[in-house]
Amino acid sequence: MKKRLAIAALVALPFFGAPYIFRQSPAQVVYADSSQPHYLKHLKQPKDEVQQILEVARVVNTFDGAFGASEFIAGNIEEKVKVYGKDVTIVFHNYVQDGEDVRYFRTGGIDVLKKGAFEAVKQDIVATLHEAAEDAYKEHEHLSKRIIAIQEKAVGKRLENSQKLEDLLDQKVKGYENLIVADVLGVPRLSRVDFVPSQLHVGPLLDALGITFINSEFVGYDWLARQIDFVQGRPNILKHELVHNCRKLQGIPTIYEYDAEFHASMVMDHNALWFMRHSYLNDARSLAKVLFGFDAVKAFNDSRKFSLLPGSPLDENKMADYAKKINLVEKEIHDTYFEKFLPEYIANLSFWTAVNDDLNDKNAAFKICAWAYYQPTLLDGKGRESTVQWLRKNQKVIEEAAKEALEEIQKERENPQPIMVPDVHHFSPQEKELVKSFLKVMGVSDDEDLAPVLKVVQQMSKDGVFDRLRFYR
Amino acid sequence: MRKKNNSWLWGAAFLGVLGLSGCKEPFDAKVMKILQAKKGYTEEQALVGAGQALRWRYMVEKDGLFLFNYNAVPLEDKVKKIRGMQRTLNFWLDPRNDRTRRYLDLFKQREYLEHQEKILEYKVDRFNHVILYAQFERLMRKQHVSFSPVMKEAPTPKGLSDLEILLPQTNLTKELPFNAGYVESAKSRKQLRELENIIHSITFYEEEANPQYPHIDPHNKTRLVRQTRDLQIITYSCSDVGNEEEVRTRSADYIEVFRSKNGAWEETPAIKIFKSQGSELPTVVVLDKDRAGLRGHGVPDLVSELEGGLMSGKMLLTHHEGLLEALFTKPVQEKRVLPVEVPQEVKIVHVGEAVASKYVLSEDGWKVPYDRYNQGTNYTLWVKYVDDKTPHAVSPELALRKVSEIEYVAKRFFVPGTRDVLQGRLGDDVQGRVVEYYKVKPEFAKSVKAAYIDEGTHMLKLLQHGKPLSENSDEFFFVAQDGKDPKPYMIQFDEGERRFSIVDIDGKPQKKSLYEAREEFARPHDLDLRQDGVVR
Repeated sequence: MKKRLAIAALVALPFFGAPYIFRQSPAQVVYADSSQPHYLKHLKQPKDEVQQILEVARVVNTFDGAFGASEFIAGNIEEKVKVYGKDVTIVFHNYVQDGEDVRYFRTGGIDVLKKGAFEAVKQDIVATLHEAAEDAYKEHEHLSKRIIAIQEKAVGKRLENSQKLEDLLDQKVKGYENLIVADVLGVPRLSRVDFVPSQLHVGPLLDALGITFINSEFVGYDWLARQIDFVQGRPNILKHELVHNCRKLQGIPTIYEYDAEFHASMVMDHNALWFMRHSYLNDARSLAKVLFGFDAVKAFNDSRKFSLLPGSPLDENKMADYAKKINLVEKEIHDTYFEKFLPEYIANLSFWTAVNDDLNDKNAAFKICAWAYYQPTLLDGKGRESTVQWLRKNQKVIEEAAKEALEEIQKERENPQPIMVPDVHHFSPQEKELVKSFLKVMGVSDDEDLAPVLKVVQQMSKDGVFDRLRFYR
Repeated sequence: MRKKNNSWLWGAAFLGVLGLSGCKEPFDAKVMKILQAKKGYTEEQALVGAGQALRWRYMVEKDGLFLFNYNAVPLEDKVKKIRGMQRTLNFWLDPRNDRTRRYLDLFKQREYLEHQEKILEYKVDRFNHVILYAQFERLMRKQHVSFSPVMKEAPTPKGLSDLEILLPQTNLTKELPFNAGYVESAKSRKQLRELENIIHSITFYEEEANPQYPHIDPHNKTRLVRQTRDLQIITYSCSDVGNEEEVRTRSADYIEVFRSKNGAWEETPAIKIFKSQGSELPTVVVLDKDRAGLRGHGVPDLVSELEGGLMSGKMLLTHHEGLLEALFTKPVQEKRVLPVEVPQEVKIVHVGEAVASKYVLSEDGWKVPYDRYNQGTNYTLWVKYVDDKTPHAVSPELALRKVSEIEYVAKRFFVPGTRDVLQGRLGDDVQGRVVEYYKVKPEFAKSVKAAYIDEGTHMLKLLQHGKPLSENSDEFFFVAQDGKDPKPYMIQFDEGERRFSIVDIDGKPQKKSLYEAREEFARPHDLDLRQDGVVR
């Protein structure tokens, strides 16, 4: 059950890794009245995608990362606003009213914002929230209609003449207090307001770009995320969080049954580099490779010949070329997700959640859906048989492997392996201290069950995550 | 230089990102591994193979298109998944879990999650109806089918799809009637003849609205009340061939059991017992636990097979009374009672000052705020000997110890169904983590060499020096506190952020309870009887 708690919050990680070192900050800056918020000053919004990637990289490089995340919200400036008719409290972390001025506590110092300068901050955030909620909603605007169409096709013969399923959705379910047909068929019937949080927390929050606590309408949005969104000209990261925020789509308990991060990432208009590298898009890259023959890993390695600690040289021409190809791939995946998969998944939720479970894969349903609509092309090539021809010849072997894999999963379920947790009693005092301080940094208190944490650490170590973190610092 | 952060949820956020969900190897990775390791495929070929494996498992090809095969997953798997989601909700809604409780209350999500529970309850009810019907059909046809993970077809009765099952407009009771052709045919030909008509009384506990709620007893909306109900068992012959005398000597073709409701019989039988194909006697039982007027009435809760069958309705009384009792033993769901937040007070007593009694006394007497924690045998026993510091859990193992006197025996209650003796699981504590303490009768308390238990019969065994082994129900050994039935002299339980002991010091009943004294202490995070369950 720890696992359930573990994903109580969903965060967007900067894929560049977690900065760690405290840096000296410049002296106090006083911002006069301005039409632009202080954190966006001097930032560019290049239209060219490669230039945009480079500007984002520079933004990330300037990011201090020594977080002043306040444990207590009280004491910060709170603004109550209406977003699409919904009351939203925006909490500006580390901003404190001081007469006419606002003091902003940043890492290593305090800046002063004159009245107009803070007004620019407010306006920027309110406008960004409006835009992100609108964009997140637009992606799901036709979802309910599509779900109803699938369901109507399946149960149409049970409806009376000229009766529409949509007209039945508000009917009460006999014997079940407060349930209506829409509840039991799972038709979400979304509006913009469903994506709007009750509380938006902006400012230096934690080692992540954004965070949403499920079923809470509590969203956090880091300044770094705002800067990246600004450079990209669209509030991608906030939009991602607002999908998590929509409990009709990602509420308890259904959020645990599929890949909620993949879903939220599908609303983002990623640049090519995000597509190549962000961990939430692993399955998108894998499908792009097998179905469309596009190898994102190769593309990344081609564009960045060698990884060097102070900065890797980027082949801008290659990146520009790959960006065009990635746009094509992303459009196919995006459209399949929203037009085909998501309506199908929700319309037949009992089936697909069982499939995900049977296959130990939260994104299995989407993979199956993609394979229903595209023929694979990975093995196509000059002088070779097509992938489809190859598949026909190898069908039997693949079936046997599939059966073996299913039986293996079944056996693993019947004989679950205990979680291997290192016996801390056998650790040396130094090792014990090291583990303790690591867990402390991770925010795990002494009285928690450490087994899940240690298991993750083991997995990270096995996967070489620690080694990569060193490079990304 | 990072700021210390103690918030559990922030920590949880990291864990989510780092991928706890990736603990089990997914199907496609397994397929790839098999194809590469055993078939010599390249990584690219294996990647294509893994996708094709998904097609093979969950799609059918028709007219050049790939269509989803919804029959590839049996209804049982879908219900299993929904039950998993119910467990998730239960985890979040459990009032004993401080973290989730505070989270839900902070964001006012309790009602929303309870609504989600209702949705899942509906789905389970609907799917279970169809699963039971499929089971009924199989038993009637003497078919035995099991679904293996590599089978691709698990058809449903009448080909009903998930959505058809879930659509409330689908009348499942009408479409999937738990009837047999031979009975219906005899009814329509008016050949159904009564062989026996027996009235039988049965005693059981029933949940009803608590009249003392909320003013006198704010914790329990309902209470369990001992009830007696009449049952009518009717045995039928489905043939009218032969005279009255000949018919009387026939064995049963079909049996019905009716419950009484306010002095009248319910219209539909609570139990029906049919003959399966080719069988001489009725063997297939369909049982409905829900009384008329309640949700679920008319929909079976159980379909099973009786070994050997029934010659007559009387055999239900002589051989299968448990089946009749099952009509009234619907598991009572534990109510979620949110703890009352008690304001924290500072209590300072200087050494040497007069100290008030540790007990708060009540003329009415103190009560346990949970009335259904004891459901028969849902407890583990702990024995404390006078010369030991802490009590020991009573196990089925006979382990001799040095001769000693028993100080008390404690019963620690667990939620029924959560204990697994084979796996060594003690079970989840009931709400309030209730523990009862009993004194043992002097003739059994002294010179004890061993105390152990028969897990099957729940018989406690006491081996005393110089005496034969005593074996009986545990309560047989306990002292009666009020001179009547054996009762605990002390009960401990949690309420809100505190833990309480209520104690019978004078051995006499008070106005409303046996326990006149109450002591309050800090609620331990993990209840360990060896530390927290000591007599105070």
